[in-house]
Amino acid sequence: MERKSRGSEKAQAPVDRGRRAFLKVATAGTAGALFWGKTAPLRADQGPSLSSLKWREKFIVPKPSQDDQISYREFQIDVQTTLHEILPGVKLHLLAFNGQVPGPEIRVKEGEWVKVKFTNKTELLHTIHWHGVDVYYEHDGVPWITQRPVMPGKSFLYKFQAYPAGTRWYHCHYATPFHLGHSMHGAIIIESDDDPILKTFQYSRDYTLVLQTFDTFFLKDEFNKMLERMKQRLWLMKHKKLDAKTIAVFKNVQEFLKAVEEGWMPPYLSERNQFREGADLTPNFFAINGKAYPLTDPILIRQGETIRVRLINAGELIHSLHLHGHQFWWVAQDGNPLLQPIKMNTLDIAPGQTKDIIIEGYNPGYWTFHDHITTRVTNNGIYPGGMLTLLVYEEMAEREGFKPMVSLDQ
Amino acid sequence: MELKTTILLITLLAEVALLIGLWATWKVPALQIWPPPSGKSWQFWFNWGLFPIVYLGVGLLGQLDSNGLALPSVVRLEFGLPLVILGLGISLWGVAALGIRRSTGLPGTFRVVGPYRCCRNPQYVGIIATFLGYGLWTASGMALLTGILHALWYVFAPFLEERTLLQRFGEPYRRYLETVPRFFSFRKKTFQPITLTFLFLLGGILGSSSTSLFAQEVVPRLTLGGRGLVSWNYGFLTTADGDLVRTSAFGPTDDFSDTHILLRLDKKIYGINKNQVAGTVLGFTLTDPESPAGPVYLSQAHFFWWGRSWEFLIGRTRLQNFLIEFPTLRDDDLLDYAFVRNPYISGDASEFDLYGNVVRVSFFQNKARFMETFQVASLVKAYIEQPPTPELSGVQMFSVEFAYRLPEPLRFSGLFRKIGIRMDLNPPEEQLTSWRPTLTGGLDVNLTQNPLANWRLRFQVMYTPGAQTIQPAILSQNTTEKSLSVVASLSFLKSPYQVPRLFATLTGAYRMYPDIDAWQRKIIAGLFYQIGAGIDVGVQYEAETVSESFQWVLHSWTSQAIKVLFSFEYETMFNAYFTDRETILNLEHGFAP
Repeated sequence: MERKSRGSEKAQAPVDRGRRAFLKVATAGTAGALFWGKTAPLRADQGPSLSSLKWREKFIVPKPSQDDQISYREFQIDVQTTLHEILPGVKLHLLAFNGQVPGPEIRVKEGEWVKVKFTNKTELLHTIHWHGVDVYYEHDGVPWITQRPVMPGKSFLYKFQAYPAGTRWYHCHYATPFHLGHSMHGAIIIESDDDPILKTFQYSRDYTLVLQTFDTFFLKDEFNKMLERMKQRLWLMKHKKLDAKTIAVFKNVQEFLKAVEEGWMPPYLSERNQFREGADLTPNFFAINGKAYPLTDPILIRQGETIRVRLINAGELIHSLHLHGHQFWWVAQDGNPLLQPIKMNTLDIAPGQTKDIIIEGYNPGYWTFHDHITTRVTNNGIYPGGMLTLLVYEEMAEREGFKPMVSLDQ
Repeated sequence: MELKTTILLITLLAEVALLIGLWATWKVPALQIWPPPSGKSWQFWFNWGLFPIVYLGVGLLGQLDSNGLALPSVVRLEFGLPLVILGLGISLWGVAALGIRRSTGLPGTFRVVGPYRCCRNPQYVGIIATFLGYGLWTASGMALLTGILHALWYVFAPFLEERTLLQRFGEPYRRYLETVPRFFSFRKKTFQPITLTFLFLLGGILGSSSTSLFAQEVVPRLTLGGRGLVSWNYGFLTTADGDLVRTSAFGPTDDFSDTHILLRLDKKIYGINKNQVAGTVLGFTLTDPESPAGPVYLSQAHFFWWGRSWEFLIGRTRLQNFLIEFPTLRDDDLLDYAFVRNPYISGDASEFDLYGNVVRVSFFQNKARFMETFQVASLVKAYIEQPPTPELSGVQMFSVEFAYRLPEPLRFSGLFRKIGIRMDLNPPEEQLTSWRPTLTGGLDVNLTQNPLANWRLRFQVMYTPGAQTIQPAILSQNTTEKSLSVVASLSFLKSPYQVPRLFATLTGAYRMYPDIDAWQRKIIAGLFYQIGAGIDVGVQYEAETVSESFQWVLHSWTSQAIKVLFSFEYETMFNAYFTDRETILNLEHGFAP
């Protein structure tokens, strides 16, 4: 099957860490995995790498004149409208980073300087917020609070030192319910050589699963409404007629209150409503890395192998992910290692959170990994579909036994 | 004996007595039991003494004996209940059109009004539907039995009535018998409101019952929209002596015309690469005061089906017999100037000029820009509502239109909102002996693209060489003479903070008839203030002057009017799961942006 989204392939491609180190004891419940090694931190936010960085260095951005003294990892990210296919027959016009759903995965080493040139190739306004990364505040990407939004056709240079290590992500913070739902999100993985999870589990493959929800009606309807408003605002901007009241942006609270006193009607008192029937989104498609079951990419594993799966909830809903046939280790919350791994088989993940799990390959077969809020294992109301993927043992190809079929309506 | 059994027996007795009355009259016409000769006769009281017993009896039985039959809820709620509502609606419409006196069977003048234009017995059709529906709805065997027995009376009664009416009215009634079906017919070339309503109902039943029976289909989207419009009209006329006199409709009399309610049910048609929607629309409009079309007009009853680049529509809707829509308060304010009028009618019912039964195919071409459309053809075939005497049938207008149109959401983002040409052709029929072509060209321009203060110019020119007629005096010269009509309108919309607030418009229209050396002109000025989204207060001034060369004008005259108005419009959607191409309110005329 041809995959249109380059993003899903790239993001889903496992990172072979070059050391296919199989654990001596490949079964679950090994004593060694119960506690971190000797270097285990007392508090999760004090990673072992903290000492290697100077505090001042981390939170101050070099001036452009100092740029040549620093070796940056440079990335080019733009936002454009793309026609993305979640499933055959379900195509959506989406705002997407580099035209990929989800956006490209950024992998950097902790402490590395990162420079992202962000270009807006749409007719709407955008920013990039680095979710869970400790950046200098002017590079946090919150429109009007830390920066002006990036105007159509314009660019913004985000610079920060990657810290702390862990599974983090980035997304557009302009009109967030809409732009985030439009798949303007991607993973930023900050790696560390001192990663206690890596040291403890010696995992050999690393997967990133971005969980997404799509309300197809809302996305399309609000897209049209936004384009309509933006068309008019851009005209006003071009002719220097756009004022604070029209775009509803003020210098401070006093200015806003003054405008109200002068008779300006704030938008929340107008009869316009961004959401359907009140304030709720009702997603009808659920996806992992841009695809819904049965097009979700499987997670591959071999017997005796340990893999790391990084879960990022970029959608609007809480998910309760359940893996069949295995007890996995929950090892990190929001990118930060837990004090102690927890053994479980069903993990809940709220919007905005990231959670890392370690799966040990001790039970060969085909195992589903899915949201146990089962109405989300649906495609437009039809079960099964949506947020479901498979954990597949590679050696199963040569083995006898039941081979998975594809079911779309039960 | 149980109460309901007693009521059943009494009702059955009354029904049988009524049927015997019919049978006796059929055998011995002199008895005149139905229709009764006068309101004081014994025959009148025989029938109208028994009818209430039957109505009350069936009504009570439905309640006392409800749930007696094991009917599935689909039949009860989605077939029975709509039948009752629809049946009552049709019969009340019939009563409203005919008047209470003649509805009771008493003699009166012969009039073909309202639903009687397409069905000879709309009240009976309605009552039969009501009785059947009531029995099904209540799932009562007794109500169903008595209902069906009584329905038989309404099936037979028309035969007696026709005999009487034929004697009373003679030739006009014979013609009526030949042209209009007794109950309803699907064979007529023209659509009929009742047939259409039944089709609408049938579609609804099929749609909803399939949903409930198999629970596999997505529930259709429901859109409700409408407008309430009320104005006080202060009209003046200039007499031949130059005196200014008030017209009869002067003063604080509520004019509710153009008030409408629209209901749409539609569904997305799923499929690989299939981006289609199909559905149906039903809409009612209040007509102009004293319109021959009756107080309420079925203005919308159509089926539509659209894909990404095309649209198909069949059924009753607003005719596209104009190119540019002008910002006048009422849809018929520029009837003589901006619309291709129906040449077959001479009366005053603007509804027959503005609405019709249509088969329309439109094509759109999406340009590179999002949502941009280019309309290459529309309205290839149209039937115009016929005049009160239902003699015309067949296609009355063919049209083709080529236009570039900016979609509504992007209305400020280009110079031309609309620019195009169209041609309408009326074939020779009835009074016309030659084709009447009409050529129309026009444009709608954003003078400023400022969304906060938008100046807009609309212009339309319309030319027709006229048509040859058999008896020129019968038809209005406005529609059959060679003429050139020009309408231009300048409007200003002030939208502080992108919220529409103030709308001012000035429209001038002029039409000349070179062959008879006649002309007419009209000026309309309007000022509307939006007090909230969709809620307007406003005032419109209009002045029209007509030259004296028209056959129906003895001297040139000028009429003026000031209209003070309040308007409310709203649209809401239930079960929305796909987006719209256009607002449902665009199906009717609107004056403000």
